[in-house]
Amino acid sequence: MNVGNWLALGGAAIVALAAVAALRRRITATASGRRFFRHPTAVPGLFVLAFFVTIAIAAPVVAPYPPYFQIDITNPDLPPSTQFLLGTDPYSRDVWSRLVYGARVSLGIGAVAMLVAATIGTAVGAVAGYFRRWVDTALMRLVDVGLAMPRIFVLLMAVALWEHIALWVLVLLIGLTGWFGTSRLVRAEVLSLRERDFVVAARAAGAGSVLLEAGLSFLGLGVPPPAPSWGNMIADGWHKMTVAWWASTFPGLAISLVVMAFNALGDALRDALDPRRAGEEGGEGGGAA
Amino acid sequence: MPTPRTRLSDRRIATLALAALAWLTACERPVGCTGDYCGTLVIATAGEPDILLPVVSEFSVTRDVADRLFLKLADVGPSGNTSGDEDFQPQLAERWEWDAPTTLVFHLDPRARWQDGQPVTAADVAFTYDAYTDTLVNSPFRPSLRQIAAVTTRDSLTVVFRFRQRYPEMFYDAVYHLRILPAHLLRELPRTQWHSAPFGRAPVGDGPYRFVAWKAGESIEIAADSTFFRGRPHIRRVIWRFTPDQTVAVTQLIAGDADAVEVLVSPDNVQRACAEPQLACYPYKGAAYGYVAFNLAAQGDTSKPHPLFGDRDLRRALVMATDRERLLHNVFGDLAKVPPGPMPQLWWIWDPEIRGLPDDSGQAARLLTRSGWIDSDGDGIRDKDGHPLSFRLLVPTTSAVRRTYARLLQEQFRTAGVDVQIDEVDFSVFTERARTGRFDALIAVWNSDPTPSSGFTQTWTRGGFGRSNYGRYDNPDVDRLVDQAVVSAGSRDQARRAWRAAIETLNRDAPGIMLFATSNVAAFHKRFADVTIRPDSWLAQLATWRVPADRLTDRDRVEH
Amino acid sequence: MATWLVRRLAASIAIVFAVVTITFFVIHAAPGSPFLPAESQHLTPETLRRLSTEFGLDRSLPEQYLLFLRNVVRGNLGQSFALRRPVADALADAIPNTFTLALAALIIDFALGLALGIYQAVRAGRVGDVVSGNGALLVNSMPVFWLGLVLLLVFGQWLRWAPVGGLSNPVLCPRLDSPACGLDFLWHLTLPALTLGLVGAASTARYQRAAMLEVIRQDFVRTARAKGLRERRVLLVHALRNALLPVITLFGLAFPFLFTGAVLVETVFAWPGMGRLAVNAIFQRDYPVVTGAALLTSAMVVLGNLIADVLYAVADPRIRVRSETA
Repeated sequence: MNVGNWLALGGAAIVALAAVAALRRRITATASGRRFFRHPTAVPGLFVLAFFVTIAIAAPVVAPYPPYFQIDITNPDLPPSTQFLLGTDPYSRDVWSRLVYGARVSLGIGAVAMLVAATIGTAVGAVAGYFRRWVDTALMRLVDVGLAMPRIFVLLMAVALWEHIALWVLVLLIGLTGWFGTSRLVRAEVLSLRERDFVVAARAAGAGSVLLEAGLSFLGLGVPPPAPSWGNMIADGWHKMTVAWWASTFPGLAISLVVMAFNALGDALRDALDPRRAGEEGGEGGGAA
Repeated sequence: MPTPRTRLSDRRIATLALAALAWLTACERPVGCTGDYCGTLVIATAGEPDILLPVVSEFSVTRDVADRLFLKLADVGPSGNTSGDEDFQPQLAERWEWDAPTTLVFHLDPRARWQDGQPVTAADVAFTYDAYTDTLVNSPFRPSLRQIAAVTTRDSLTVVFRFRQRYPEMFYDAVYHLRILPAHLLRELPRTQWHSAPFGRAPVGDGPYRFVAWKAGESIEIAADSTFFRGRPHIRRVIWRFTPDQTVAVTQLIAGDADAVEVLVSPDNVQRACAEPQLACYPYKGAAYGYVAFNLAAQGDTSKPHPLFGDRDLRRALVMATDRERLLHNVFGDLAKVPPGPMPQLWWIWDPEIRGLPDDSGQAARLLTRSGWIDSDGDGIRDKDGHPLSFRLLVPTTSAVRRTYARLLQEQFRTAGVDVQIDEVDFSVFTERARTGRFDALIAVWNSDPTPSSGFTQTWTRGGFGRSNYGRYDNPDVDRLVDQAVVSAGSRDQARRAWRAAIETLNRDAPGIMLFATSNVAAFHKRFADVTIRPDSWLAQLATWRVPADRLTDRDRVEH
Repeated sequence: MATWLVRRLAASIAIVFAVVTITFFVIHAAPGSPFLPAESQHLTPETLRRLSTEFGLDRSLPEQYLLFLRNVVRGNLGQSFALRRPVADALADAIPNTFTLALAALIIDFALGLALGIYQAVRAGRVGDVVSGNGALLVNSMPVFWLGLVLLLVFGQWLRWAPVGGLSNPVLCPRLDSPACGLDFLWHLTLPALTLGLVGAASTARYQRAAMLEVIRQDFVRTARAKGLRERRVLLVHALRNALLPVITLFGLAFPFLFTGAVLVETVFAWPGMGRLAVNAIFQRDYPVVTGAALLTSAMVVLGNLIADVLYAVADPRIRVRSETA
């Protein structure tokens, strides 16, 4: 890590804080926005996400090395130091640099999955709920089938059978297998015009997909090497966990942190949009979605 | 608010707990086996056998288990010498003689019995030879038996091998691969079904151990046959525990859940295991070597050359671009050597003086530039006629060593302006694609026979097409020299010179990058005494290993 | 109720049928040879042809599909190429292991999750709630295999309190059917079940806390309190009974999670169950095992949902009426 990297890291933290503050100014205008920010986990959750998004975008300045660069393969597994913030891995690559670039992949997967869940999931759910009758039946049976096949199974089959799968296809596949739950909830919402749980479902699709990528990579079928993702960083470092714990501990923590942020935001959002909770506080219903 | 129903189940739980307690106390009392024949050996290993029928499996763990159950006629002795027959030790045959230069007669030990009580006869030997050479069974060992013309029985205990010609390792060929099988139990089984025979999950043998249990994905247990005619083994039970990888195997060893690991593989594992006061480490010569094999033929059409690797200069440049010492240091530390050609350290032809291409990235770069591979579009990857210098490297997911090598090579090649994409596939898929030629380059590792005569021939000559010569390397000069070394050389020195010439010719052609030849270290719990390891088959001397009576632990004493 | 049940059951069977059909066609649409890599390497071309005929691989896809269906209905799942034994045998070996693991994890999940959720709801806003709440959020956010790896490293390798994987100690317990193996088996079950159970419990606790809080705020609880009933009785009898309803939904949702988790946890702990079997089969292109595993897992997921629906209907008659009119 040189001075420039440290400055960039500090800058990223400030940018993330500023983004949270700006958002807060913008949306506390509404009652549900105020409720959202009153939730104790909202601000930390937002900050963590904003921070990881910032360093992912600014990766080339925050990371001292290219993510695939092997510094000295005869001398790998160096512990964390000021030069190598989070140590080096068994291939003598800088763990911090890979973590930063890996944020692009892992957050990207989360974002795409949420997007797909929010679009396809909502569309299918709304169509089913709106048209009812046979459209509803057909779509919901489809969703039932989708829910009956464990995602990891479907993805493993796709990746293992079609041998070299491009990264974007994998990301898309993870997204495409994650919308079934959302559509069911949206349908329920259209029917009842009351529940706001689809926020929760979209959040679950995002967080779940980050975890899923990690699982796939752990089984050796995720993002292909040498591209860094937090999942394959854990897998790369795991067999040397006893001598170099840092190589797979930090990406594991990063995943946990980001998923936790997703979950915390989801909780805050759900509570903020919940009309029952709203009634209690005397605000207007769930105006914003 | 206890209801009668919960009270009843409470009582049931109490009874169960009492029973469990009774069992625990019964087990911990130091009774059970005492004396010289009690040892229990638990081996942790990363591989599981596919089937315990040695004729159809070439997994080394299958061999480890099956060789305890099934006898060979004779076996290589502690010297490891494979020429002539002087150094071989009798197993199923009590003695043998040569009726003619190409006629070998074995006399079976009349005491030998199958574990169901039937005697072992010459008919079993003839039946076994027939099965090993049957194209329907298509045993992986069939090519090794090609010099044997016929096997016939003279009487119920005498069997005659006839060879096509005379050569130094003919006795070795007759005995090393054939594990004699019970004809009376297998004769009715259609030959096409041998690959999934129920017999292979509950085998009946004639060896020092009998099969006890196989829990799929978990363990295999065998137990000493106290009536074995060559003497009762000291180790009473041998159990293989299957682990997902080598690191877990070493962890089990350190945690005391296992007693032995065949190879520690990485320097970390050696450090971890050998530092433990209760463990002893045993170094021995490695029988394995690993290399990147280039596919010289086009994928899907073996009649055409590969668009990249058909070019000898490109192959030579890639070999020179590799810094093999640094790669080796990362993966193995001191536990391997860069081989002077395609050979394990175990082979007698090993000689650091054999000439090969230098590891010289400067020379490699000049050669690539000279042959027209230049980075003309500035993307960091060399190209020629609009095609980038890019290929896919196939490795099996099951091998941590090869996966590591692949990633290190990928980066080394990238700095040389060569793009490498890694394909990690399951071992069975790896083998299938290797054999059908559907790859650009792959990392192969051979855990070899103790002698180059069959292993080298099958991997680097025309005779290995469709076998283990995955890259279809073919140089008539090499074939001729190998033939000379194996068959017609009059003396060991002549043979050595022929081998050396063959390997230097091969090195100049650069059909692959010879990455490593392992030096092995096995680790055992210290209570095991008299442990000697024959490098080609680490459990071969198991009969002499023992746990002295004063070192027995609960594990050795436990009775069932 | 009876007609409702029959209709639900029919729908469930239809779903399993659809999953199996999809799996079958996905496998056959995959590029490369659809045939037995593990086996083909040892066989001569003529044997391969004979085997093709035997397995019906030389026929058209629809014919193959019908053949496959006929076999499935007869309970014949085919022969595993990589394991060299009948698929049904391999599955029969693996199912009890996964079932025990899942059951143990479910027990930990709901026992710990409900207790924690109730505790948090009762102490809502206080230190105990905040600390355990954030703890649960963290555990719920960890990759399940990573939690397993960490537990294995700490308790198996460093502290050596628990075995480092496997189903049983083969020295003490050569055959699983011997009764002596019980305790040893439980001992080996602890870490994997805890890994799966903890992640589940964290999420159960979060739901239970929310459900409980909602109920506590409702009128009848206030009434009960006003009647002067003891606080403990109010919470445990009146509030909990009503707060359990949403948890039943959670029970149905737990099954897919348990399977996904089992795939990873079984790999980490070398637990020879369905998940590991299925993953290995996918890697090895052992198609008969893949289809067999797809059949079984989807059946288990659907069964889980069915059980949850029935429980729900029994617990809350309104649901049944609503779903019949919908």
